[in-house]
Amino acid sequence: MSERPPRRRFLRRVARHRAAVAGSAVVVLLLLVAALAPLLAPFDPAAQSLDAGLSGPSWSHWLGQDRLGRDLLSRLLYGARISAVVGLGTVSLSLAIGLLAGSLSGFLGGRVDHLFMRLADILLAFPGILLAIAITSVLGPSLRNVLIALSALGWVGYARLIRGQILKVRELEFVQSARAVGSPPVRLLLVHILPNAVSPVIVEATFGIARAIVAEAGLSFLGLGVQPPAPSWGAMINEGRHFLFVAPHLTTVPGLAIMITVMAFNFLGDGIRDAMDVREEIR
Amino acid sequence: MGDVQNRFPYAVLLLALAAALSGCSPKPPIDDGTLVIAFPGAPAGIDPRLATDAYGTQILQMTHASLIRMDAAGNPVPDLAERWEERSPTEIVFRLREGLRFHDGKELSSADVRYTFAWILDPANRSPHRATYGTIRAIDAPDPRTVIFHLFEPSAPFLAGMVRGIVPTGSRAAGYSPPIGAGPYRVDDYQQDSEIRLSRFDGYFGTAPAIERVVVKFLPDTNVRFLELAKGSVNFVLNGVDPDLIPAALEHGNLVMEEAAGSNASYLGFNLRDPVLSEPLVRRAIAHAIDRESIVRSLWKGHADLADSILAPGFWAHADGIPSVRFDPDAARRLLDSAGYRDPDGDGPQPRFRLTYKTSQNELRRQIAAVIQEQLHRVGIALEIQSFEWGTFFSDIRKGNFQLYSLTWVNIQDPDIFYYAFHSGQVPPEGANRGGYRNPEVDRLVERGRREPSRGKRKEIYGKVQLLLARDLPVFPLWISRNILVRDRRLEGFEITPGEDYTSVKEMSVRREEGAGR
Repeated sequence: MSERPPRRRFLRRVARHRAAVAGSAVVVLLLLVAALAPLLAPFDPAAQSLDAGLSGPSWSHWLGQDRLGRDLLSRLLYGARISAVVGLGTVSLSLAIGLLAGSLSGFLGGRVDHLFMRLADILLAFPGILLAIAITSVLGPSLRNVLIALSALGWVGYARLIRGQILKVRELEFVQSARAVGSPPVRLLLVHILPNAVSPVIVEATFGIARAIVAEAGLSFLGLGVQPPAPSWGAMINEGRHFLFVAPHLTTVPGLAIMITVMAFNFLGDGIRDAMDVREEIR
Repeated sequence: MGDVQNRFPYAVLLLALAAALSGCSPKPPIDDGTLVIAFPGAPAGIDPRLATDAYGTQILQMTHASLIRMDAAGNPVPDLAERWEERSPTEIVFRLREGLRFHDGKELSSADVRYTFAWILDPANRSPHRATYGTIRAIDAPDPRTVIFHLFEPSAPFLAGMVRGIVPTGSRAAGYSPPIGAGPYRVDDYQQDSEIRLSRFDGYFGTAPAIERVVVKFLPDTNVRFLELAKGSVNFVLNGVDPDLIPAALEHGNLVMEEAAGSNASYLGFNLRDPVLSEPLVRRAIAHAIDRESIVRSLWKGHADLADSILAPGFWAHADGIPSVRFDPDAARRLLDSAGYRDPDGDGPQPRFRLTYKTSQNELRRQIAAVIQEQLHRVGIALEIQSFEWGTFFSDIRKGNFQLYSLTWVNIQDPDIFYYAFHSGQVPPEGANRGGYRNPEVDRLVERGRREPSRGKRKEIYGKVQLLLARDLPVFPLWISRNILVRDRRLEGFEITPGEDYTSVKEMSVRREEGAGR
């Protein structure tokens, strides 16, 4: 279809998108920090020294200490793990369910389509974060349950997107030709239709990671996410907000971390979208 | 031309900002003699027959009068009743003052007293206070100034129950408008979850309050309370300024702090149905492992006292000589070893056993949980913290669905609390024996204590109860937070009581100062 190999062309386009490059640099940094947190953190993130509570930045504690005297930098680095796990985990889980539901829906049509899409409609009728709060309240607060709660609603968007793509792609000539030469349905779906339908899904997934990170921070802020002493950025903001006037660094540092991370994923998503030339409407 | 139009909105914005910064704000309410109190939460309701929450009770202390009041030491003193006597242990007669009036000018008579209590006792009204008055057999009002209570059996906590706001006959259960009362202040306006505005009631039977207008703002956010105090739009906060923010608040020259002993006892609750926690050695070990002093010093900034009972040391029924549990991690390890819970790998990562600790989402509670988690970790107990929103948390505790939890007893008026919280028959939903504690001796004592009229003998009985509880540790009393008042320095006359009572608002006044301003 084109004179250059599509992958190289794609990478070149992303590389030309400055915001996307910056975004991917931050994303890589986040993943590195998440993976290497135990090596990078100067202190045990849970180690308390009560009498040093609310100390400001110093040579030994670069970002200061929280109310329980825990090292803020170490907690920030470990917090990256939770954001990364939730971001990637939620999107993987949602994507898996969404791909399956969307493919079956789009490819089989009829009753299956009807079933999945009505289910999607019902789920979309709930305000997302409220449903997540309800689910974590029922299941109990934990990292696993945050993943479940966010994925319970997260798959819907992917399913609808994939279904729409499949409905469009299956009518294209090359799919019709494949069908005409007797390609079996599973092969038709996996080899011919899906690969040509996933571009917008990848873009959507990149934004999805950012949304999941924000949602996790929100749930943890409310105390419904990971439980103490695990350091989640959202929980850190909540812990620090009572001391806005005496120790503003406790809230601004994790707040900036969330902001930069989310911005990075969004920039990356923008870059990928432009590079893939996805013209479809993306939420 | 277009340029100018584009800039216009910015100019307006800039002007507005400049106006805001240049101090065009209205003068602080204290200058008009208005007392503005901030509560850290909103009352669930302000009907004396139904209110159970602390905020509702505190507003009612300003708006409603009751037969008697309790003074700071927990002794009954006259309010609407000028005197009372026990004709027999089951017949108590109250004599009302002369010329009592409700806020609407109607006379307050014995019939209103009878109506108020009869309403609570009527099962159809579903008052949460009905059980408190279960010993009342009949109420007589032979003349407008005499009320006679007939009891089924002698009841020592009966008198404490008479601290209940009286409402006029025929008052409907409060929806948005609270029923009127006969207290020193009348309600002018009540905005649920926002604020309540009160003004002086001129027909009040006692000395007329000096402060004419009182506003109570409900401000759940600690930062907002702090800012409003600093700005002067709030001038009175009792127990609502975070210990860490107090020094910053006092930097504002107009604010001063007062501190007095409190009575709200925080405790660690154990589930005695749990195979691990049913072992007294384990409970004692946990108590030894918790460094309460460092928690009080660092998290409470010293504004709390260590507790040895759920009763505050100043309360009349508090027992003397309760052996205190020292912080002693080595003793904790030894006790755990002797209870058969050896640490599988010494100081290694494997715990002796795991426990779950439930708490609310209150930030201070969560922080305390994190500290206890770390301290128990040091003696080899792995603690998992679960924080829930209040409704879920409290319902779990009531259902006995917990291993460890922490809560605070507030507003204890009578040692009969020991019956409610530790009698084997008071397992929820009937009572508050949430851990399922059973001790026949305690049962016998608390049953005797509630029938015993003599205060001296009651003190003896409850002394024994407290020693037994200190031995068995069905709950571990942690600390009693001190009452901290941050107020405008011109406000005078408020007496801080252990129970965070707002009754003395009527004795407050604003000191006039030349050139007082901020």
